[in-house]
Amino acid sequence: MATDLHHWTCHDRPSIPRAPILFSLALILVFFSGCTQVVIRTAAPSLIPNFTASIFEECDPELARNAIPSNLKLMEGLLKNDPQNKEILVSLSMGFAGYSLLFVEPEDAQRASQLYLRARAYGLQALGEKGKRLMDAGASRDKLQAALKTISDSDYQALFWATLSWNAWIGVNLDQPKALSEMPAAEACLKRLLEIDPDYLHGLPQVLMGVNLSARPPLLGGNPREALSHFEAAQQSSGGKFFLTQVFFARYYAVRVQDKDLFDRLLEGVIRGDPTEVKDVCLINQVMQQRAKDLKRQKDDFFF
Amino acid sequence: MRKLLYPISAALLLFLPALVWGDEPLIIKFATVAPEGSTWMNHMKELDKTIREKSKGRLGFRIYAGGVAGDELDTLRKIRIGQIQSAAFSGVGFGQILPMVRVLDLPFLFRNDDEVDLVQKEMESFFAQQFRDKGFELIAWAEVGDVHLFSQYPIRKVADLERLKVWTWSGDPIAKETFSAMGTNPIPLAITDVTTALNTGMIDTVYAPPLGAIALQWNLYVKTMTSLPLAHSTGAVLVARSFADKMPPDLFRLLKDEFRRDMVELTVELRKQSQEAVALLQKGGLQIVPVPDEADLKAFYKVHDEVARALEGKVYPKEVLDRVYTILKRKPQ
Repeated sequence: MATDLHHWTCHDRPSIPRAPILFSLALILVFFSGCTQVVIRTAAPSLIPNFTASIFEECDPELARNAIPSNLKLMEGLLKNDPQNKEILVSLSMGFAGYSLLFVEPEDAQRASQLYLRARAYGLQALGEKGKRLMDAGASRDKLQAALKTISDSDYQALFWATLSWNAWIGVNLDQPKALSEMPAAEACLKRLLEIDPDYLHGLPQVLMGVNLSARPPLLGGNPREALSHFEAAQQSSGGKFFLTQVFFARYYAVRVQDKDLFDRLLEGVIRGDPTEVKDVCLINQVMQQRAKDLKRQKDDFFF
Repeated sequence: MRKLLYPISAALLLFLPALVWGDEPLIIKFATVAPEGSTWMNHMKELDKTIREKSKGRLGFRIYAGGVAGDELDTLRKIRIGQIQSAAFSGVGFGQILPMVRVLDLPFLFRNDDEVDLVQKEMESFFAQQFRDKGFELIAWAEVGDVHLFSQYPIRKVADLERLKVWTWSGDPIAKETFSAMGTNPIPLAITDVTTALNTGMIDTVYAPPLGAIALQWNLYVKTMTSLPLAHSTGAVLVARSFADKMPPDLFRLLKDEFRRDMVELTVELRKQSQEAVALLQKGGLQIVPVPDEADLKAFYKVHDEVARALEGKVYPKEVLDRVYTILKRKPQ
């Protein structure tokens, strides 16, 4: 058998220049139709998670701000050839949501709104049939619960980024009846996330719940007491090293209960802290440290 | 040298206060239950920008959104102790400040938006004087909008309400009288307890503006909405007189003009949104009960007459109600 193979290769392979031909063959495989999917499918598992890990790792906010959009466009290109690739879809959902949350929403809520919708669409698409069922459930609590029960651990990331962008979209569209009407569904998704893994990304699901419960007046389902326990759980989850928690804790909870000391203490902690300490969220921490400084300056606008 | 410096520093001293004040705008602290990102808040932010521009930085708002200042009654207390100066109020606050203005909240009083606008316009200077006597400047009307009945069961005629378990906002004399006149014994609850009460079946009928019903998620617990509005809920932006009286007259005029202009725009938007909300509710599976025919409609209007008479002299003087009827060219029955 071994001899046969040797025999076969010796006769069929051209003797000179081997390497360049192999190389161009590879290029042809990449660039010509039909074969593209094969290459990307094999590339995706290694390439995509690297990108998503690295976007929040970047410690230079300016660099990240400039680099993320082109990376997202690149991934949308990859997606065209492999529209059901769950990893690409989740990465796109995460990328658009994160970019909008960190860089766009503070400056342009309307643009952020569009990006959140895009992030949500990718996240739901990554959930496949389950995502469709979630959207179709509408206001029906039973259908919603039935759809959410089917979400398993392997769907977590997709549901997480869809949910984050869904809630964020509602937050910037509270003047739209449609956004208000989708509040129960977005919140049910968030509750499901808390059930499966409340500690994901340093307790971010807890933070989102804390924001929802403190940003709304009690009349509209706000509940400062419950919000506090979510923020405290998030603090515990990150050991105080994920600055987003403290910044949102200060901005939403401390302002809601008009606790100036808590507001100061949380923001001071972030301003004095080292944003590079937790590697996987260095970018978020950098941006939040800046936001903490901005909030500190605007303090008078929040308290009586 | 010293001789030369002296007049210059004296002149500087003279101008210093003016310079300092020139930098610091007069700030009106305004509270609203509307959350950040809502139509109300977006309007307030725009208004703040306009006022700062037009006053060349002499006047501006500090806006406390999302009910940080508490509900209407908390807000009123904060205004009375001078912690904030301005807020939008509706029936709850009016009940404390100037109950008679609630004549506008009577059930089945207005037949359309034009009637609402007409009465508000014609009665404005009268109510402004009444508010002034109570320590407030009426800056602009700001409506909550048409309030509708939402129920587990279709409400086509007054008699349909008899067997229903209807919620009323605790302490609201108008709602209580209205449902009594409709032949039902309403169940008073704080608004924060309504969802639970709907869920447990303690109540099966509530009232709210359509957008409010969605925001409060009450629509998830009922099956029908009655098209005929139960009432039109009026609101107004008020500024404490103790503050307004100290404002430079040109700034007060600017505040009033801009606020009014903006509230007219806001009202148009809110009315449009209310229609959108009804369409969404219908799409979500709620049965929209059409406006009843002549005979059944008359029965609803009769409820108005009864309630209006019962509250005369209690919530508002008879003359105020008569003025409203005169403007609407309607004869009390």
